[in-house]
Amino acid sequence: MSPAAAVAIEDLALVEQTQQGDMAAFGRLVSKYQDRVYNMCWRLCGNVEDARDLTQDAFLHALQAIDRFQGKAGFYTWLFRIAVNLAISRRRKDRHAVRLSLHDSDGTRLIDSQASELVRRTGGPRGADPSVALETREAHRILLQVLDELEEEFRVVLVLRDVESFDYREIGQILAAPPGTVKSRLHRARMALREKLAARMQSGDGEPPG
Amino acid sequence: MKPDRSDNLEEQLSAYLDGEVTDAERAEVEAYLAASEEARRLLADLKRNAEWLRSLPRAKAPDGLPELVASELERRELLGKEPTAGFARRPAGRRLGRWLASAAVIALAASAGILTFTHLRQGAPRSASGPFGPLADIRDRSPKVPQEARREETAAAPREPRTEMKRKTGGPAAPEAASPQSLVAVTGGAGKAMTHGWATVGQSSGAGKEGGASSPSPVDGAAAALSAESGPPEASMRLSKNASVATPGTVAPGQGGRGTIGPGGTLGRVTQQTIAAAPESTPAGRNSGDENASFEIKLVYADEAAKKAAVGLIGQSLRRSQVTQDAVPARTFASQPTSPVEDAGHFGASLTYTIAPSEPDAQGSVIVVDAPAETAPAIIRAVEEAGTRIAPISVSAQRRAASGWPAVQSLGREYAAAHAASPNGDTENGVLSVTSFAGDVAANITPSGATPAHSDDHAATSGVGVGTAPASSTSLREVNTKSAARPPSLAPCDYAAASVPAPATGLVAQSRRLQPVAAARPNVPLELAPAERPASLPTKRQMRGRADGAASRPAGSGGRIQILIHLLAAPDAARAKAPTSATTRPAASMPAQDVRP
Repeated sequence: MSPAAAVAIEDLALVEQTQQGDMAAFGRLVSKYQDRVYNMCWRLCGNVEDARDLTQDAFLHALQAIDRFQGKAGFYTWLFRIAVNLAISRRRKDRHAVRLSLHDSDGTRLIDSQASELVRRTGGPRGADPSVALETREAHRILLQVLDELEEEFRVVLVLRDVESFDYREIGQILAAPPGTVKSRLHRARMALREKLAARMQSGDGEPPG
Repeated sequence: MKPDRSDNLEEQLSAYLDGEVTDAERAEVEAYLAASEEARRLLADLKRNAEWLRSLPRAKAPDGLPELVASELERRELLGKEPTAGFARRPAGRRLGRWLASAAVIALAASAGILTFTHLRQGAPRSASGPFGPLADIRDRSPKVPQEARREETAAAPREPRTEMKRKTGGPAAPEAASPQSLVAVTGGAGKAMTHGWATVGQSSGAGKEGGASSPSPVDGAAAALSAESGPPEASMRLSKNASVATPGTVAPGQGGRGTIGPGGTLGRVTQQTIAAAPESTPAGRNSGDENASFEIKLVYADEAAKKAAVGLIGQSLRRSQVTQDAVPARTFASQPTSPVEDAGHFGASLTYTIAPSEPDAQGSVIVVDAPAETAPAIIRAVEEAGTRIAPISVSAQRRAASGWPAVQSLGREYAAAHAASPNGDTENGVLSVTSFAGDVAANITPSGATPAHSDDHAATSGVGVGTAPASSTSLREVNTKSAARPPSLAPCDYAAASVPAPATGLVAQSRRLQPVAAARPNVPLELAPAERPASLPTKRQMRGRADGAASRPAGSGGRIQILIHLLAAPDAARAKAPTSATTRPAASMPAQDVRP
C-alpha cells in the first residue's frame, strides 16, 4: 500500500468517526492538515490575519459539510477545495480593500523585525551570509507581490502546484477541473509569472535569488 | 503548424518539469529541448521560478487552532447560526451542538450559582456553620425584621416546631420582603432529577454544600420534624392524594439541597430529600415520582396586583408553616410575562404556560417554589391559604410517571371535555402547555373539545411518550422542539398530570376574573377549589379588556392565581440511594388522575 493510500484510508476512518459524532477524530484531522491549509491560505490571500481566519473557516465548513463527504476524493483535497473557495471568495470581497499587514512575507511581525535584526547583528547566532538572507527576503517580497498581481486562477494553481506540491490529479480534484485544464492553466500561470518577474527585474526592482 | 506545435511543446515543458508527462511526451519534449536554445532557456526559467515559489517560507498554523475551531463551532451553535447546519443535520451533529450549548448553559448556570453564593456570602459572617452554613448565610442576608416581630410571628404560628427547626437548621427564618418584584424562583439540586439549568445553580449552592451521605442532614431532620409536626394528617393525606407524595418520615438523609424561593429572599427552605419508596410498591411500568420528591409550585397570576397580594400572603403562610428556614434566590421571574418558548429550553426550565405572551397587555408571571416532599403539605396549604384569601384558586399536581402519556391523554380529554361546549375557537390562546423539567411536554390541551392528538414524532425525538399536540399549538411544537434538543445525558422526564382543574391556564385565569373572596380565610383546609369553567373562552379582545381592568384592581381584591405543583423525582437514583421504607405510601394508592375535584 502506498503512503498516499494509507493516508487516504486513515483520513477516511477519521471522517467516518467524525460523521458519527466523534469530535476527537475531527480534531485529529485538523491537527493533521492545519499547517498546510494555513500556508496555502496565507499564500492565496497574502496576509496571515486572513489566513488564520480562512483556515478556521475552512475547517468549520468542512465540519459543517462532512456528512456530505462521500470519500470519492481524498479528504485533504476536499478540504483544500473548501479552503481555496473560501480564499477566492475572500479576495473577491476584499478586492478593493487596502491591506496592511503586520507581518512580513515570511510571517514575522514587521514590528519585531527591527529588534530581530538588531539582535542578529549584535552577536546573535551566525547563520547564512546576512546579505544573502536579505536578498532572499527581498526576492520573496517581490515574488509575493507578483503572485498577488496574477489572475486568480493562475495564482491558485501556482500555489497548489509549486507551493503545496499537489500533483495535477489532486489539483484537478481541488479545482474541479480536468487534468488537461490544470496542465494548460498551470503553464499559462507560469508564463505569466515569468513575464511579470522579468518586467520587474528589468525595472531594477528585484532579482530572483540564485 | 510550427507555432501550434511549439506552443504545445512549451506547455509540455511545464508538465515535463513536474514529471507529469508520459514516456512518449517526455521523449518529444527532450527532443525539443535538444533542438531549441529558447526551449532550454524557458525551461530554466520555469524551473527557477518554481523553486523560488517553493522556497517561500512556511509557517505553522496558529496554536490552538482545533480549539479555535471548536469554540467557533460552539459559538455558532449557541447563536443558532446556520453554518453548522449541515453537520447538525446529523444526529451526531445535533448531539454535539446540543452538548456544546448545554455545556455552556451549565457552565453559565454553575457560574451564576457560584457567583450568587459568593456575592451573598460576602460580608456575611458564617453564623451558621456546618453543612447548611451557606444557606444560613443567604438567609441572613435577606431583609431582617425585628426580633420582636419574629417572636410575635412565632407566637402567632399555629404550630410549634420552630424551636426545633431553629436548632436543626441553624437559625431563624428570615422575614418576608415586601417587594413582589424581587420574586425569585429557585430550584435546587436533586441529583438526576434536576436536569434543568436551574438545578445546576441549586446544586452548586445547595447540594454541593449540604449534601453528605455520611451524615444526616439537619434540614432533613428538620423537615421530617416539620412534616411530623406541622404537616397535619389531612394535609399529608391530601398531598399524597393530589401529588403522590409519600408520607413524612421516610426521608433518606444526605441527598443534597433544594432551593426554595420567597419574595425578598425567604419563603421556603432548602433541602433535598429522598423519600424512600418500596420498589415493590411502585406499580409496574410506572416511574413513580414518590421517591425523590421536591415540589415546584407555580403561581400564575392574572396581573401584578394578584401577584403582589399572593406573594405577600403566601410568604406569610409559608412562614407560619415552618417552611421558611432557608432560601436560595437564584432566578427572578417577577414582572416578566413568561415565555414558554424561552424558558422551556434545553433543560426544560420548568414552566407552565401562563398568560399568552403575545398579548401585549398580559402581565402574567410564574413563581416556582421547590420544596422537599415533606414540606409540600405545608407549602401547599400555605399557598392555598394565601390563594383563597385572594381569589379562588385551582390547584393541580403533576407527577412524573413513565406511564405519563396515558395520564396526559386523560388529562387532555378531561380538559377538552370540560370545554367541549365552548364555541370559542381561540385555541391559540386556549392552549395549556405543561412542560416537565426535562423539557418533555406533558400535556398540551386545547379547549377545542377534540381529543388531543398524539404526536409520535415528539415521542420519537424526545425519547419518551409524552405530548399531545394539537395542530394549532405553536407553543407546544416549539416546546417539543426544544425538548428534542435536550442533551442525551438528561434523563427523560415525563409527567403525568394528576389533575388540572379547568380552567387551569394562566390565560384562562386571566380571562376569567373570578369574584374576590370576601374575607380572608386564614385556616382554610387544603381543598381544591371547585373547577369553575367558563361558558366560553374569551376572545383576545376580551382578554385585553380584562387585563386592563385587572391592572387597576387593588391587591387582594381579585385576580385568579393558579398553582401547579410539580413533583420531581429521580427514581433510579432514589432507589439506589434511599432505603426502603415500609412507611412509604404506595404509589398505587395515590393515583394521579383521580383527584380532580
